Amino acid sequence: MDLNTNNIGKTFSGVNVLRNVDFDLKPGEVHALVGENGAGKSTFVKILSGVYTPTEGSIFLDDKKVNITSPILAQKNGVSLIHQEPQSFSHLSVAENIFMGHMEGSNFSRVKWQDINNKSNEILESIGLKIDPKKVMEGLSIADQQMIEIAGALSKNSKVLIMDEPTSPLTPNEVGKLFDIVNKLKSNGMAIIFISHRLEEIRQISDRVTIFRDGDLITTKNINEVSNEEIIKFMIGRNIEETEVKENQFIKNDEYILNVKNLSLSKKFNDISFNLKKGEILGFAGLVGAGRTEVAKSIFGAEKFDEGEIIYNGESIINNSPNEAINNGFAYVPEDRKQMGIFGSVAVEDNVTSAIPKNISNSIGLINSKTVSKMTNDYINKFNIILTSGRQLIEELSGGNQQKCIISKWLLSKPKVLILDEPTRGVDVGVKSEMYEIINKLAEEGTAIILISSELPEILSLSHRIIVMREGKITKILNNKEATQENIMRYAIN
Amino acid sequence: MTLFDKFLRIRELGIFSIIVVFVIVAAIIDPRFMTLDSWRAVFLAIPLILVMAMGQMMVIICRHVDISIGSILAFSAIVIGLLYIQFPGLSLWLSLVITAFVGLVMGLINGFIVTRFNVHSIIVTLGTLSLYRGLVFIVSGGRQIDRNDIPEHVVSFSQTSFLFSIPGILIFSAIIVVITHLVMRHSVLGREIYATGSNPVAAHLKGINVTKVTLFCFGICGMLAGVAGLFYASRFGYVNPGVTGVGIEFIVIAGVIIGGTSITGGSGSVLGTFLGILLLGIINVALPVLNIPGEFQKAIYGLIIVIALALDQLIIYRMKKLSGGLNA
Amino acid sequence: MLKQISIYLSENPTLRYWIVRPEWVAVILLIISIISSIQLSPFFADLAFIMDSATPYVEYGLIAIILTLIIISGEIDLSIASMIALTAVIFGTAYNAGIGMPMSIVIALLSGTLCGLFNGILVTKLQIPSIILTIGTLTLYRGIAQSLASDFSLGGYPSWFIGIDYRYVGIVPIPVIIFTVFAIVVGFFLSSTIYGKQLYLIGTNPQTAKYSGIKVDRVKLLLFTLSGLVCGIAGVLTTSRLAVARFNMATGAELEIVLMVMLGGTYIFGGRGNIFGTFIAFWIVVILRAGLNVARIKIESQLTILGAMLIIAIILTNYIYSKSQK
Repeated sequence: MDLNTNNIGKTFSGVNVLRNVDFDLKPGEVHALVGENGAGKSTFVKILSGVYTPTEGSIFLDDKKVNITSPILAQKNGVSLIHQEPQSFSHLSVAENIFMGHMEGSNFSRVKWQDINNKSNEILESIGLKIDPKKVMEGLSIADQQMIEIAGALSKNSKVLIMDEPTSPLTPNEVGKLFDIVNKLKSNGMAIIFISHRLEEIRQISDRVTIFRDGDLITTKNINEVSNEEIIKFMIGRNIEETEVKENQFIKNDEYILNVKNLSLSKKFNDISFNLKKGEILGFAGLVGAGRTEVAKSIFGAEKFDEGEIIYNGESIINNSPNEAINNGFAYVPEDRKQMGIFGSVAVEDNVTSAIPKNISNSIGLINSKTVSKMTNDYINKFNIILTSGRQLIEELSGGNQQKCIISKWLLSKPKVLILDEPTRGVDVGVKSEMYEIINKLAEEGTAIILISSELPEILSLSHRIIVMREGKITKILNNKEATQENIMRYAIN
Repeated sequence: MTLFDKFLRIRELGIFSIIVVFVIVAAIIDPRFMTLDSWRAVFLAIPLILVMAMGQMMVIICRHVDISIGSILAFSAIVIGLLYIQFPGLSLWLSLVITAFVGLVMGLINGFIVTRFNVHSIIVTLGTLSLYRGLVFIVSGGRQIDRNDIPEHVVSFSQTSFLFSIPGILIFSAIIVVITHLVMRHSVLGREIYATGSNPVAAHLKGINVTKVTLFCFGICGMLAGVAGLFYASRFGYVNPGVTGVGIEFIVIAGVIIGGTSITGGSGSVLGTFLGILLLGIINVALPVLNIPGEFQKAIYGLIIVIALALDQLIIYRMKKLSGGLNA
Repeated sequence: MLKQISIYLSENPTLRYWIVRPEWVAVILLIISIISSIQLSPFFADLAFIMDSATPYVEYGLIAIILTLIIISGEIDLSIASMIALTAVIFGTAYNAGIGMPMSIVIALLSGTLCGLFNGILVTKLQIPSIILTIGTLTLYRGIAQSLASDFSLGGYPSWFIGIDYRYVGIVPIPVIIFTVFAIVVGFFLSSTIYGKQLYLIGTNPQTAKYSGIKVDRVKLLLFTLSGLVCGIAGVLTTSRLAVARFNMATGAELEIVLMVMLGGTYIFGGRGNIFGTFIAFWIVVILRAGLNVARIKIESQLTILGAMLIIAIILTNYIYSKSQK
């Protein structure tokens, strides 16, 4: 099926997040969408799959204009979205998962078990998957669940398949299997939109690539006619700067503040050893699911670890809870801002001072609200946080300003070791560079920083050393001088 | 997967073994327990609870709880009792239709508030529990429906029938159980109920009308509680506004939960629920036989609920651990 | 016009913080109920009458205040009424066993504390949702009370112990004083101390709270335990008022207690609410009940109105919060 869009645009509460998108997709092609976070590619596929309705423009399927106002309507028109995290019914059978929502018959008619089991078997076999359709979903791997979701789309005779970062929760082996299936579908005439942040994968699987930036469709190219460097250039709108080799006074010393020895947690990470100096920014690179966040959480006491030792300032310590970790001088800025970073419907100043209860209250626990306001205002000014007052609810601020508040919160606790997990995710370019300045300054002042980031340019320009992880193991520790995007990726991928 | 885990998974087997062990122990302690009279008592006690449990099970499978069923039962019993005073000749079938309809409306009101305003069903039905109970008093004027108000053909419904003199309510509840099994296990809508409870977000994305499914469950739950009101009038021969159905919701919920229906939704079976209710019925009859005072019944039921909840949580925990998806 | 107001308010968060609050609904309701009850009967103009009407509800009011804290921190305790009955029965049993009044009171409070602790442990360690768990323990505790007391009324207390509701300071009965002081102390604790603030943080986002170094589980455990203790106090107070302890006392009280919290504007999903609202809502319930009694509406029929009010209160509070958020 041919899919065309004409002049698609989307506005959220006055903010124009997508403009004039003219896009085309042909049967039997894999069309990759790339772009930085917030570039508009997710909004675009959500419009195609009926999650959002566009503010302007129209969608054409086989040159017929269609109105897609809900996911169900999209599916009826042959457009299916495969979610990054598979949406499955763990208590039901594989066949039911495939056919749920479009089983034959009315409410009280009998489910044709034989029929759906046979059909499921056929579909699963056609994509080379050997799973008993009668098996209960619970306990299947993410990869299998994803394949079953694809099978569900096939059972609806979908002609357009949209895959939103399908590979990010998968192991390299599973990615290979997924690509086999994608190729098979492609040769059967399926039109596929494939979103990924991994250029190597895009190169491997797709025919054409479309690049988004800041809500605009920048260009569409045949994959063979464009290099990775060019794609990146389109994505960020400028050349990659030669990253300067960083040095600061602390790094020349040998003052190790943290030694992590053979840290292991079953099924998450294995044999993690590294050390960290005062004033050093230690980058953690790797794909999503490589175990970086889990290591950080274990160090911070939010999760346990099975084996290993953490030596801090020369002494062996175990942080049994975030509370102990904070008292020991650790701080952790989590990757999932909404779930673990902010108290949404709470005032900014209460958010900012939430990790330092002792500093804002007296011995019997009375809060000194003047101190709270003053501390908050200091950081509002220092970091140029845009808001109407410290009493404003934090959920009303933009993502970047929320992130600045969270960093303020942790700086108030005066950490010796600061762990930043994807600190610039969902943050616009302007705030991003401000954030980089803050991070560099902190290191200059002697704070030891662990920086987990999936954006290679960010890791390269900030870190003194870079640890690359893959599938729960450290595969390489690189010095700033020897690190490039290419060799980081080489160690991050198989 | 260890044997223990497999055992945990097939909950019906677990509860069945508990029943067997319990019966054997009770029979050894006092052989009187194995007489026909005891078992007749068991099977006379359960139809009322069983019918309500079918509805409650559906509600719990789709991730809700309805604690107003005791009041619905009382209201429908009062309504039908008042009708009997006016029209002693009211046929059994018409009575069934009336009580079912009364219950259906009350259940739908619960479902409507829950789906429309997105408030936890326990809080909503805590409100309607009182609201409906208040209505019982208003409608009846506080007056009890007495034994001689209830026509003979209604009373005999719980005593005998054309079929080997098996009590009519037993046959009728068996029919309801079978229908519920067929709907839940084999109908499209039944599977959609499981899907909704298992993952409401995914259910919505797959085009299931979650509101409709939830309303259906609450409606049926109310309807069956209404029918139970007729059972009550038939079996006990009186309806008292202040006593009828008070606290019965906890017995029903206990039975459903120990029958293996998970309070986190998406799983549970009619067979399990039946066994759960059967166990409660057996305990109920066994207590006097075992010389345990009747006052202990509620405490035992309460303990069973708490243990079942803890066990349920343990199973979820172990299953997550097995699939490697456990994130502390 | 409305739109302009809402834009103006969103630009002035401090002003909005004070204006868009559900407890104003409670205040307005209270004023309406006072005015209409005075229309109904001149009794209501008499403060002493209202004070006397309040005494039977003080036990519920005390618990409502603790329940406010629990709901703000994102949990709920529905086993409260059963804990009143159980502690009262344990108190009566202990006293009748001849171990003396002080020891009996200690045992009652201790047993309440243990019941609360048991709730708390199951909620925090086994992660059973509190709304479901306390439905279970509601049955369990009431059942234990019934096992202990059977259908007997446990009485026989010394005369000084009986009738705390007939002791006054001026025109104010002692239970009302206890309630008011308790409300002020807990209200102050909630609004002005760091521990109070942390309850709001926990209720708003328990994950973030954990990552901010707040001992979420320990706080919740403490709250449930406290709830048990206060129920123990309420159990003893009720026994003093009624002169007997029975297993079926305070049946259905969870409705009125939850109603007080909900009418007071505490958000059922946690993170918002305050003691002032609950305090006002307490008086609404008192005046409403007294008014319905004066109007000769049967106690049982009043359930209809209370049940309907609970549902309306929740819907209204949710509506106001959804408006104030956006």
